[in-house]
Amino acid sequence: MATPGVLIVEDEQPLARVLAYAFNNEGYRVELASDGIECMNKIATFVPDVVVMDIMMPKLDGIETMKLLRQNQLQRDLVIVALSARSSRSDRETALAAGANIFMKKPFAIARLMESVEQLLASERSP
Amino acid sequence: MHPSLPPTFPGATPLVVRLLVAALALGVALAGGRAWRATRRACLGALAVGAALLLLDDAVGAVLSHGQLAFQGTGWLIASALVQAAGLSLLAWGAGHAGQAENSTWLLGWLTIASCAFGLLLGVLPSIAWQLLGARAPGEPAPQPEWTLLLGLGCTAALLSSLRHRALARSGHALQERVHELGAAQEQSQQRETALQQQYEQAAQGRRQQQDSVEQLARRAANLQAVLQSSLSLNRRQELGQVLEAVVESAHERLGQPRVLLRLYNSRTHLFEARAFAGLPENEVRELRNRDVTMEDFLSAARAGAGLGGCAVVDPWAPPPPSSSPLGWRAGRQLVVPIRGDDGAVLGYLGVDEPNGVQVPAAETAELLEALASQAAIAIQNAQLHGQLERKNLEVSMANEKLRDLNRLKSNFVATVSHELRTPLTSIKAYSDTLQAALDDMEPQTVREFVSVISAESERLTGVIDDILDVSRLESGRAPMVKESFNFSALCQEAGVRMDAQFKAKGLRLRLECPPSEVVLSADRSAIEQLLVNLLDNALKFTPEGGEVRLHLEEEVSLARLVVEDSGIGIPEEEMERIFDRFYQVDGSTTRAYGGQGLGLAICRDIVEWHDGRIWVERAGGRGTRFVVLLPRKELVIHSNREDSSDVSERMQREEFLQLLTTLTAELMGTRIASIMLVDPASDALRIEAAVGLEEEVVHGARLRKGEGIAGRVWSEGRSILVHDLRGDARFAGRMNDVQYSTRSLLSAPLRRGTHVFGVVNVNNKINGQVFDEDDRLLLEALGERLVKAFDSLEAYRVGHHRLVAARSALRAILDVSRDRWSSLRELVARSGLDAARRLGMHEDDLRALAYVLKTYDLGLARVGEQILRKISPLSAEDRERINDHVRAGAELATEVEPLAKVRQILYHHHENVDGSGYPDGLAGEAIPVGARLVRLTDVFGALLHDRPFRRALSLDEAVALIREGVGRRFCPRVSSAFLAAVEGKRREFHTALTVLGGRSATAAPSTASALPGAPTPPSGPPVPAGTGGGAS
Repeated sequence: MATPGVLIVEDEQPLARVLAYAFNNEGYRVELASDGIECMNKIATFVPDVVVMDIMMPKLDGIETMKLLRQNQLQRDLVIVALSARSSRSDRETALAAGANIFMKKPFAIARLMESVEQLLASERSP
Repeated sequence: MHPSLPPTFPGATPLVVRLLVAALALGVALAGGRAWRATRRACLGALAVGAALLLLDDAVGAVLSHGQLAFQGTGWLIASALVQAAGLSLLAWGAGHAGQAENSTWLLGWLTIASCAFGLLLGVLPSIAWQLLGARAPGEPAPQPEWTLLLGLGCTAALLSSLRHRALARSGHALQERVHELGAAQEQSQQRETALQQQYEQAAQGRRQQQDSVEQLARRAANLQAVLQSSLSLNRRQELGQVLEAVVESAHERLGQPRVLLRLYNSRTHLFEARAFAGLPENEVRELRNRDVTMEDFLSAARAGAGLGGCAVVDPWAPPPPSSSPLGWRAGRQLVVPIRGDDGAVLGYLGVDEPNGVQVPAAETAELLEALASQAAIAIQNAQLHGQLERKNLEVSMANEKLRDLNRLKSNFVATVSHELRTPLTSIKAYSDTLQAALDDMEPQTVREFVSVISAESERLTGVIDDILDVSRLESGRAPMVKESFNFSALCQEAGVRMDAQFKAKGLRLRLECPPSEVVLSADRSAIEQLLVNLLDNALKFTPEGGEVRLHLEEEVSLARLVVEDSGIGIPEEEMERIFDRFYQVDGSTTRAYGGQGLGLAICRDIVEWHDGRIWVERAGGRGTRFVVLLPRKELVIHSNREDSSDVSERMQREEFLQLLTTLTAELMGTRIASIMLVDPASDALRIEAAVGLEEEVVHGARLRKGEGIAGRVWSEGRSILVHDLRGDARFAGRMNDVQYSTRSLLSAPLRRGTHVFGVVNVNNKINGQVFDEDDRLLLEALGERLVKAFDSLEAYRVGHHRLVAARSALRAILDVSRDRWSSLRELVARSGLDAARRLGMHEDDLRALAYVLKTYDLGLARVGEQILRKISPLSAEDRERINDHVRAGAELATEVEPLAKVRQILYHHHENVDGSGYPDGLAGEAIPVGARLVRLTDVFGALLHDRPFRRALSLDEAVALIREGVGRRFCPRVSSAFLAAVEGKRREFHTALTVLGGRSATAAPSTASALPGAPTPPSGPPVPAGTGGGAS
């Protein structure tokens, strides 16, 4: 199995950095994008297995970005983890409807994020 | 006598002669009887004389013959015959006419007959005696048979005549009686006829009366029906204007009143305003509209009317008071029918006059009009209620909207706060998690880095918590803010320098434009610092890399203008009003993107408001945002003469008041120095009560006796003094060297109640460096009147606190208006307005009122909110209502400080269009006070020459053309032509002003640049978006 690739889309720089560190430690190939536009640009050259997507971002927010990603056939089986500081029920539902596989509320435990990503990747490959 | 003689003697006369004589006598008698209308006496006389003559003749004959004397001879015979003839003819005449004599009675007739018989006897007797005595020869014919014959004839004639006469007289009598009878009968019938006629006339009159009363009843019924119909048609209308029209139409058409006027009481202007007319020519309508009828006028009219004797209508029918008796309405002939509401309050009145009427109105007219008035009252109240209801509905829906907003804001707040707290927390947790998991494998460098991030994020968390606390602290009003004097310019520079690093880090440029001179601000230093930091921080957050942020400070008359402008993403127009709301987020994603916590601006607003300043946001140029803050610049020097007052709060109120008044004076007059002096009764001298721009020692030291110096002269003379050049003025000799006089022009006006001067207001050092002129004098005099009113409110403070509060908020509103909306261009427009008023021939008093109104008319706008006024997008109904309401608010505010009803009216009506499409009352044409029409024009004209968010400023010619287009629809033709002529006369000045404005806005010149030659600082002006250019051609 090839090293899985992860794209972290997060405008909050300190958080993006620590996430990159954590995924690197777990052996992922990591790319960073600070907003939705940057994310779409990165996708053109880098095909990740997982996208960690912040919802509230400038220019193009997480919801719109996820919708764009899901429109593309190639990214249909992409694992998307949505992160948001806004954690109401509607926020969660909107994110899931836009294409997130799971929704995680900020702040979250890094370990749990890793676990979820592992599980999702596993279930993605098993069928 | 001898016997031979007798035969000779009587018979001597031949028979023929005797017959002839007798016939002659008879003929004479008959002729004479015809010729003369004999009287009774003449007849009797003639009879007697005739008889006597016959007797005499016979007696002579007898004596002669007896004495044997014979007178033979013709002469004797003739004489005898003549005597006999005369006697006979007289006898015959008398007898013949006795019966015919006028007025003769049957008695006279009989007398005549008796005398005839006596004559006959006399005639017969001598014959008999002759025969007895005489020796008559037998056979001798009986003497004098003619006597008998004659007598018989005469007697017969007399008898016949008498009988005929009697018969005639009798029939005449009968006829006369008959005539009398007939006359009497005629008289009787005439009397009867008269009586009949009288009866007939009485009957006719009765019938007429009956007919009249029937007609009257019919008319009354018709009139009452008319009133009823009016009432029905009135109640069908809901709009007040229509109701009023319907009322006067009813009085005019249905009740046949030739001239009708309806005045409605306006509780805001406290005047009875002429609102509807019928049967009045245009010029009278105009005249009536321009007349102020106050409640006092009305009540005095009512009182006068109560004394109208014989009037069936009770209080208060009245002639109008002489002062308000309008053109063409004769005093004493006008009926004033009050329109009273349910509670008896006077809503207005209906005025009618009867040019052909009488002093005391017909009871019927009165009754009908009263009936109409009571119906009108109901309809008017309904219409007013309807209007109120609509407004209330709108208010309620607005309030609901607000509540919903507030609710949304609240949930938004919770979400935002949690978001703001979670963001740094997420980082902290993520870093600490990672550290915990992989500490052993980590490079010390990485560990250090991680720990420092945790520390920074904790800081950030603390900041958010502090902000929240700040807000609640400010909100609860327990902010421990303390005012101190400091140099705002220096503070701005410090803040700029401190934050420069952050700007540089983001690749932004921070431009500081602070005047090198001191800008002294009396404020809480740390709060102002926070204000600066928050604004800069906000600009920092929302400006993308490579942008520029400009911090601009400008000193104005009594305030400092701070502008923070960025080239960032801009704020949508509809959000501009709300970004100062606590925790308001333009949109969630932006906040996240720019890390705004939604509290900074709310804190800014609280700080500014605490300092009595104003803050708003507007679009800067094409993109970007400009925050404008106005802060009172300097504490005023207040020298209270009433330090003995034990009531601290009263003293504070007074000081605040004086501060407002002085600031207002300086602002309105555009001067650096303004002072209010009051007469100190203890020392009988003028002392400075409050001043702006003067040193404290000057304020405390100043003391002027009556007639001393300019102010002292104003005090003694009771009128304003305008000094063009202090140097050339003897009155000011020796005081020229005072540093405070940077210009040589000074203006002082008295503060007085009636003729009693109790203070003086002074201004000098015009901010644009020019000298005062007549326009300024008008304005200061007008302002003086308002200051007096304000002082009155202050006096009334003891009576009621609310009046003072109302007056204070009014003054503050005026101040806001003059601060925010003044520029050299506006000033020029206002001066053109004043010039137009002069061209229209307005009176000096009106000019003074107008000079003041032109400076402050948008009073109510201060309550509308800058954000709405600067909106680009179409206004919502709610916005429009708020704007419409500003006029009402303005008039309400004005009531507290406005002594002149005229001014209140102009303020209230200056958004009316000449075609009736304006607000708040939709008046049209001449119904709009002329001053209001003029202000309408200057308002629009001024606005056209300034930039607006939705369009750039127009050139002078474009603005003039637009005004021309609106003539007849929005603007009055007469006033427009006067105004445009005035503008034409100031064309050169307009060009100068427009060029200056254009240059300023286009290049964002440094704040120290002079707007006008010789001016130390530029005049205050409305913020003009940079980059769009001014309207200069």
